[in-house]
Amino acid sequence: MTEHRPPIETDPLGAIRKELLTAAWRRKAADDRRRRLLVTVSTVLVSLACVAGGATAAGVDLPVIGDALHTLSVINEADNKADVNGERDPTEPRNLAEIKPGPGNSTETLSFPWATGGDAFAAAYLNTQDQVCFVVARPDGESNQGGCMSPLLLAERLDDGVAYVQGVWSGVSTVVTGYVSDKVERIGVRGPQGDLDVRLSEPWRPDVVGASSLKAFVATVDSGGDGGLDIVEANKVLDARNYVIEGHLPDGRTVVVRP
Amino acid sequence: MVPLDKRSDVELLALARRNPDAFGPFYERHAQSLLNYLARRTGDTEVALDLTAEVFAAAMASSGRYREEQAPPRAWLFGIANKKLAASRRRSAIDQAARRRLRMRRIEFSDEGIERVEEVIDASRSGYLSGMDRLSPAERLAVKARVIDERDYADIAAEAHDSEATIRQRVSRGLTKLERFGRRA
Repeated sequence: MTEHRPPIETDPLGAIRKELLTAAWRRKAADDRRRRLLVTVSTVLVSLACVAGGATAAGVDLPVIGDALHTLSVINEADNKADVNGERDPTEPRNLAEIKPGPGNSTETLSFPWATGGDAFAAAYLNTQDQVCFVVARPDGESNQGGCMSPLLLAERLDDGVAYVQGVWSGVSTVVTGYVSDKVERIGVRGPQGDLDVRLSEPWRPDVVGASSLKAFVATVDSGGDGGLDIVEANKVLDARNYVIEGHLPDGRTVVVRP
Repeated sequence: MVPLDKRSDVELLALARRNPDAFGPFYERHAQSLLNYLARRTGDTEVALDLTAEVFAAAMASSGRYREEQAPPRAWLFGIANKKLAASRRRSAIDQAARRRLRMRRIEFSDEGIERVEEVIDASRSGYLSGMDRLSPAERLAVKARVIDERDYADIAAEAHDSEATIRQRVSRGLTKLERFGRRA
């Protein structure tokens, strides 16, 4: 196997400048794609055919998640067709195989009231490719949401910052999903629409080498209407950087994380 | 349209989120003095280069949150540098979080490149350091901030709670004295 070695630079400040701008453009392209996808999810795909239907059943666990995955696959298929650049963000699932639950374990199902009635459900799980995924299933089965990422990358992010926001979606409710280190006892999430209502899972260690023990969270707030955020509001609400997560540790300390 | 290199630091930071190229002139204006500062604080050019990359990655990532009323851009940048420096000392390792978040490629510097950087750092220090202790405290601070740290007069004045004219006067007086001390030596 050929080992990849970075080139040796003879103009250090020039090399830093070049790499900084290259990385920034790459990140902007990924952010733009994610924003396009999320705005699409929040404004257009609400009309997608509902498949779930089982969301209101008692004791719901992976069946609801399975239904949610079906809707997600439709979304991701559409996104695949739209993606002409060939460059992709590894946190976004692009096909059904990527979001399909694998034989590995999952968190318990987190339920929370949905703005238009009924309960929505969320869970983190391992997919068939041993990635950590998160899915949120709405009670009406429409526009379910989710995403996957490498457990090693996630462990690294939690190591760096205690909390990691996996996704933000907005429609009738704004939903923020993510993970915190299992050291965190409880969390508060604040965003452009104020404080969010939070559900935090029990500690979960994804059954894969290198993964760290974590807790998954889902935080929601009503958008105060029938899903009608204008594009300016939506941009603000959908930007993960506009959220602050307060993690409360067992020793009474509070860690504030700005994604 | 005003070209990027003619824009103020505040404008460049505001533009950088939508147009990362705007960060280029901001980097060019401050990279050398930040590197000088970090080299002086760490005593190691390679570590200073690594920290410079980390500080600018953090600044790039948070440029959208920069608010002019909090601090002038340069003071804000050096504030990030001080935090990164403290975090690196605490962990006995250079913080890489911002570079990882930005997915920056690791950069390896050649000995030749590091030597060249050291020459520039030495040149900026030489001739000024001897005799600095003979200046008044206010002059010493002003000369250090302007000549060694290469900071803007406006930043120094804001930090010292003095007018820009006063700072200019102190720097000018301090440099004249240093020149005189140098001639006598």
